[in-house]
Amino acid sequence: MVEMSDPDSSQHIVKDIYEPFGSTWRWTARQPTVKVLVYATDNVRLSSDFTIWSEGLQQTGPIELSFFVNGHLLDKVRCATAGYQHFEKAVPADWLSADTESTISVDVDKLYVSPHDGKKFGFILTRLGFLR
Amino acid sequence: MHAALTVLAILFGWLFTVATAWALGTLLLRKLSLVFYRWEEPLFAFLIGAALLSAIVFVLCAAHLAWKALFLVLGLAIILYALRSGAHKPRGNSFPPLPQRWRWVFVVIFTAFTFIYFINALEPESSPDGMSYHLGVVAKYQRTHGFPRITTDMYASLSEGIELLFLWAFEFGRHSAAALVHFAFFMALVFLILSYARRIGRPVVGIAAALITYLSPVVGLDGTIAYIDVGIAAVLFALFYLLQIWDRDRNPQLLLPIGILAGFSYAVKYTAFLAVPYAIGFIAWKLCRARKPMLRPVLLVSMLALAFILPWMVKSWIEVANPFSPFANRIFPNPYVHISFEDTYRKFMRIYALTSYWQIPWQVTVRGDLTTGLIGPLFLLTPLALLALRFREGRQVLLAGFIFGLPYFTNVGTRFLIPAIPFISLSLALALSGVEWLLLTLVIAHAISCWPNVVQLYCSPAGWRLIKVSPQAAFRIQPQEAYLKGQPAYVLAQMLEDLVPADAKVFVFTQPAASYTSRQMLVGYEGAFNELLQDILWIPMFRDFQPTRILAFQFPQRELRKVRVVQTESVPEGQWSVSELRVFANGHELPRDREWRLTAHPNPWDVQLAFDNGPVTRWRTWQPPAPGMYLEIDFARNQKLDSVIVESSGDTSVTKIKLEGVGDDGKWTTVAGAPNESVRPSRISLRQAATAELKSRGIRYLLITDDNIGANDFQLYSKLWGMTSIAQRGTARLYYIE
Repeated sequence: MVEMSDPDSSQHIVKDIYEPFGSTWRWTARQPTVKVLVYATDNVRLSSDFTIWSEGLQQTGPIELSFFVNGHLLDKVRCATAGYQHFEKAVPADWLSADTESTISVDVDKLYVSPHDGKKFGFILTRLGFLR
Repeated sequence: MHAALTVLAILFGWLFTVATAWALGTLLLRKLSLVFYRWEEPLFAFLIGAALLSAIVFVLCAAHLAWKALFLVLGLAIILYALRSGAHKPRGNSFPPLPQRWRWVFVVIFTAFTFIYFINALEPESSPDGMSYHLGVVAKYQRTHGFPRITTDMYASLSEGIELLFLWAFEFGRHSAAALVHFAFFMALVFLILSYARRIGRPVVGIAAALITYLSPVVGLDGTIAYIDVGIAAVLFALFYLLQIWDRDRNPQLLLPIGILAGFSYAVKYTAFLAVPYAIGFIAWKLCRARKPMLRPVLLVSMLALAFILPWMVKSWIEVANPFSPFANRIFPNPYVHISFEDTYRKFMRIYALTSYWQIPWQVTVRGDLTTGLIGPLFLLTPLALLALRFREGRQVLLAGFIFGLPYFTNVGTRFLIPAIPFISLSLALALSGVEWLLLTLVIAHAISCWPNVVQLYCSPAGWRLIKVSPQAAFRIQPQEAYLKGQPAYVLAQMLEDLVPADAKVFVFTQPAASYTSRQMLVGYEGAFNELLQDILWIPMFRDFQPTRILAFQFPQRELRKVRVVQTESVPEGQWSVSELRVFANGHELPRDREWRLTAHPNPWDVQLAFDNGPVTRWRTWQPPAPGMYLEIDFARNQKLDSVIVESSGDTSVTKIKLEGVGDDGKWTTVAGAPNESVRPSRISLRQAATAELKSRGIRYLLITDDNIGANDFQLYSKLWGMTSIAQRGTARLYYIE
């Protein structure tokens, strides 16, 4: 599990996750992606804790998050309300490998664009990874 | 005060070693009533004495009597005896004086370069091979007062004739004393070149050739650190020189030092083995042409040479079951060095990072990065050296240079040219001796182009060369610790010294400065055992190495006494491995029985790894697979079987196997042809299994640097490996296996 508050978390981050602002969470961009290794491939669940920002939701309207594991679409989650959310779903064993890191990515269909600097944001990520 | 004492100890260690060697050599030369020119005698005495002293240290090490006190007493006794015998009183005639102008050229250039060379030699030793293996083995011998049996470091199996002289000096002055001993060989070489040319009546050629050799950047650097290449060049040149004197005088007493130096050449470096056939061939040819009996002289030289060669062969034979270790492993199969390592090593040494051999002339003379070092742009004129063929001396010099240069093609590193450089320098100077102003211009140009500040203007920034010297560090005004802390290899060695218990073993992928730590390191590529550990650590990270390839032989039930899986394919660039071999009857695996006799060809020593139920261990051929290689079980009695399963890995997919068995008739017959193949991916991480295997082999520490394969995996998933990172220095982490 990659905790955004963990000082080592940046070593697992592949792309589209911003540096923290002294917080225990981080903003994402369009396709936040992390790499993690599983101890075993069976009975593994993808888990994520994240928050949808109310102000952002006002600009984008409901957004859809697509969870991928090693390029396989695991699930899509529609987020129409702001606030904390938890996602968890079992991952088929043959999508995973115990020797090399697996890639987890979350596609965000619509991004919030900051009116001040034009910077784009997806959602607020607290943790993302596998549970067993 | 401490700095002054350190420097004094270094100078004592150096001068005491040189003086002992000189005393031994002088005693022998005087005993043989050999008279040379005044300049020649101390030079020959030092080199012949070095061979004798090295042999004495060999005997002391073999007897585990290599104690500092014994060295001191023995050395002083030899020196005092030599002085009492009048060894210090010069003998022989002087050469005619050198031409005035050339003498000044020599003095000015030689003095300037000697200053930087001496400072470099006196500085704390920081050369890659010096810190790691040349002095690494010396430090081990010093700690154990002899030869410990080392089976996990292929460098320790090489002949170490000069390293044993380093040991003598190291006892008193540590690393820098050893480097200065090499510097003494360097000085001897330069003055031998000069003396030889004076002897043949060509002093100008001598000065030019001596300077051309002395100033060459790779020679200057190598000769002032704890390496041995300039040392071997000095020994080979002295051998050539003595053969030339013998050819003129035919004094049979000369055959003794000739035999000693021929044998010592091999004792210093394997690649100098050609000195023996050269010396014997030279003597035989000359005697044959003169219609003189040759058997006795040839036998004498051969026997003396063997006396210096055999101890090294025997040492290797006893320690690692191969007299030529780490080479010739096909002829002398052993469990200590893999054939695959030897093949890879040879292949790399023949090409380094070059893409074409046509790069060599420019690389070795000007750029110096891909072949590690440069000899200087002047050597682009080497083809002109062939003009020396018009002189008798020129032909002799070129022949010797050609022979001693031949091993270069087994290792294209620039420093492997060093044994040929004195001969190239002499022949080039001879070739141009008719145009003295041109020779003088070239020597001065060479001096300018080889000065360190100038070299950096044209060589590659990564070219191995002397960059700058630090008198502060040399005289220990800057403490050694402070000077060396910029060397990552030294920092890692100190980390091990600080954090690893004295009796612990540390696995490393790349060698730290072994001479600066007393901890035992197992370097990934330096021995068969180490390569096995490396394989174990890589298996969890690379799917192709894991036992995912399942090959099943199924056949009507039979009673068999023996079965074996036989390789049927030749794969020049691969290896064959078996992670597990299982036999079944009626759907049940037969439990491994103590009566079973397991064997394999090749690599019978690791056969157990195919029967240990370990997913991260495997029996490997460690050489390219070839038809007829096998893995065999002798059940010791007839056994009912109906299937055999071979668990192999993806990296062996090009190999093909069949199953053979022995039944009641006692003959091998094919039981099954091609097996059914399936893939069974590993579902759990094998990392902890790997570290458990290391632990069971007594290894609790791993030193990993960021550039090592899998460094990121070790760091990020240390918990999955069952390890804790206990320290970090620079880009390296030290892990402890819990």
